[in-house]
Amino acid sequence: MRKNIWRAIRVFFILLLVSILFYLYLPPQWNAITNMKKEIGEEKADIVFIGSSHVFNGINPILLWDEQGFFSYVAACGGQAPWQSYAYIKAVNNLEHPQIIVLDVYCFGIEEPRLYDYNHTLENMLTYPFGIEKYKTLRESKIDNIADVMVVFPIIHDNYEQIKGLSINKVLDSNWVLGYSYRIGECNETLTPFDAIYTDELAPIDTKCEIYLNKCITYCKENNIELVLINSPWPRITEDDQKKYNYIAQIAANSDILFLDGNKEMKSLNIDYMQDSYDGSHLNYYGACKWTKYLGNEICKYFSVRNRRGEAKYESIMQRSREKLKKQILVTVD
Amino acid sequence: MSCIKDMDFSLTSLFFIFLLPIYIVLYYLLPNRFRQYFLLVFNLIFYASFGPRYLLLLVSEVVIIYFVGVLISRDRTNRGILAVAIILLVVILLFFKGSSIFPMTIVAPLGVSFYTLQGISYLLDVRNGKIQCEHNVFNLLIYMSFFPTVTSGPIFRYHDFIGQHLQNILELKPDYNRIVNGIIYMIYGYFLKLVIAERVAIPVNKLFDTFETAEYGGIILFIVSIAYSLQIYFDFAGYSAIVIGIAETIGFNLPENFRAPYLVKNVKDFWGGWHITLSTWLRDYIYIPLGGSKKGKFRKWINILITFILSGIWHGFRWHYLAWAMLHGIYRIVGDVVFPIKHRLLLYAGVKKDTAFCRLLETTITFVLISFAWVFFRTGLRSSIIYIVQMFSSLGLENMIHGRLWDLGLSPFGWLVVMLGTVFAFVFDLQLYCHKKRIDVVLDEQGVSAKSFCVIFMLLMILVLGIYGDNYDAGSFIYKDF
Repeated sequence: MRKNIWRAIRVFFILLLVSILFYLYLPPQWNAITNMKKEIGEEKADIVFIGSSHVFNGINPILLWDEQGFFSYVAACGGQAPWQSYAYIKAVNNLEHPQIIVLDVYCFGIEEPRLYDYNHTLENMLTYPFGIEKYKTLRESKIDNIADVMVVFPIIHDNYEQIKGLSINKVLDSNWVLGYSYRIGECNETLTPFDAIYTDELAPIDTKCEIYLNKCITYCKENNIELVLINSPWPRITEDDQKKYNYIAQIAANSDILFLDGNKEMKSLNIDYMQDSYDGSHLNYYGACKWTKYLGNEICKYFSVRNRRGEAKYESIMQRSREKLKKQILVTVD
Repeated sequence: MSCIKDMDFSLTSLFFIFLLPIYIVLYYLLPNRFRQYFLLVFNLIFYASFGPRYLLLLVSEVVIIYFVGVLISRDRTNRGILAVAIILLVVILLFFKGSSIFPMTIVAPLGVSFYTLQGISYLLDVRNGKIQCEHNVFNLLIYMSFFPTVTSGPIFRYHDFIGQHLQNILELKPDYNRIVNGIIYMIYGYFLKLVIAERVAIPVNKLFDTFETAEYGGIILFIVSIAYSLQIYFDFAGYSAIVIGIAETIGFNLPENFRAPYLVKNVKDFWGGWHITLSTWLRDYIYIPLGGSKKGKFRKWINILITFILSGIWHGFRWHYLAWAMLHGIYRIVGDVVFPIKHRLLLYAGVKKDTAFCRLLETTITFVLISFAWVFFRTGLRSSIIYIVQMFSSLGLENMIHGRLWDLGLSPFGWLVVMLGTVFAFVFDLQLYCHKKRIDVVLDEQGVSAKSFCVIFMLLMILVLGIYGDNYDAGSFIYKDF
């Protein structure tokens, strides 16, 4: 019996030692959730923005702090499919317990197969916290190598030539500030004005997307989180697309949830994509400031969110963030 | 069925690596009498994951073999049924082998070459009275679909299988040493495959796929031919180590497939250490029935050539496989002719018999000859000839000096890893060659600390330096295509 116990200890020790040595060797990988924890810690953010690149390009938390004193974070990744947004809401709630979650619904209104893009799935889920939620979301994302993405290292282990045989930050860089990616630049092409495709008609969204939208709504209600649905200004929207966002607006209305459609508010936002977009699609810094200001005002109107200015722990985070943003601006100018 | 097809059962997939310990634990938790059914179900699911419709072919072959076996055992003098059955199995095999030369795209079922040979050996052994015919079709199905060996061997003989299988049903208990040794052998297999074989495949594939051989010169072409020798050996030996290790953990001792084939002194001994189960199959069922070496030297050489030609056809219905096989046949014959005067020739050259230098010279010459033959195995006949001619037509020293070798995709560090990995494997191959001791036995003798250190070292090397991941398909073993 004693022999078997020693054997078990030996085997366990070997596996533990190999795991520790290997995971010490692994370089850290960027992810919106893990970065949020690293950048601001737990139980800090009162407002968290979730969604796709429309969100991390279009919402500037530093401006929200300056204008309203709200402490917020942008936990968004490119092409975030609805089931991934649902997983993000859960992860954000576990870490931050925010008062408000602002969910951009752009990806809820788009068609397959864009929702199943493999690279976007990696961006969103590669270093999502390990657990059953990660597994379920990967299954919904319909990727072939779930086991590899679950344990991460086979995905980043593609650089066979160097002794550090693992890619650092394979998916994204981590030079974002509170989840916001600073961009400047202007659009060089003529875009279709929103007026041309304005419609009040409805068209149903994909069934799976609707299921997940309802799951997000239900989860937030059950966990006492105020959910706000938004559709960030997007110049490439078509009339058919808009019908789907009108449908989402109706779901929001039926659930007594605030829905802010940036495309319908373009005039009041005074957004001119030629100046306010850096690639003819995503908002640049100027566009993001306009949209963020509008969101801040609307949130003020409908919710009572604490003004955190003057609180030491938040001030220190904002000070660091401002320095980081200044560096980003200088690097971009250079 | 679609969910089975979505599961990745390839030996280097994480899914399989995670599933295996669970399977082994469940296997031992079950009562003995249920284990065979658990093994059968797993075998079938494993095979179905590579293509459910090919499971039908496997099961059909088992049914044919079962009924023919029963008929033969009743009347051993009736050769007609045996001949028809063997011809049918061979036709099925040739149909898939030959599909590559016909204008149709038929994918050969995984492992058809291997399990068909197993089936033929079973029928011949029943006919020859070596084994009793199997009356339990499930035993036959387990044998033919045995998941460690079904895709790429080793070719397991029925009389080796059934004794172990019946004993396992009666009294198999989990044995720490057996399971641990099996796992160590598996780890060694993954090391050979992922650290060395996959790495050395990079320059080999780059050169052979682009075939810009004229730009590199003889020295680099020679180095790459050696690299391919290492690739094919470590790939196949690594696979064999993995499956033998897996089988060992569940109570089956599979025959070894490799015994330090590159450390031998002549081509005859090479075939005693390379793909041993195929060589012995060809010896027992082709060479010896043809008369072997018992009907005179000339007849022996004919038999050798026929056996090698059939080996070439088994690998594929293409001229370059035939050329490779014929080359080995010629090597054997020339070796036979030269053998009586070999040591006299060496003495004239100033090389003393049975010295270390003599052994080194013989081993090197044998290795070089085999590496040349591998070129024909790797690429088409015409390309192989061009390759060999270009290897000898110019040295290309300036290409080496200017670092053209690094243009093949593997950096100096990568080459260093290959060389050090080869040295590491060589140490254990030497033990196998000299003392017939496998790595797990050698480590056992060194004590717990040495064993633990070696295991930790191999695991870390696999994790850190192994070639696997998003951009690579390390799950594809070379011999899976045969």
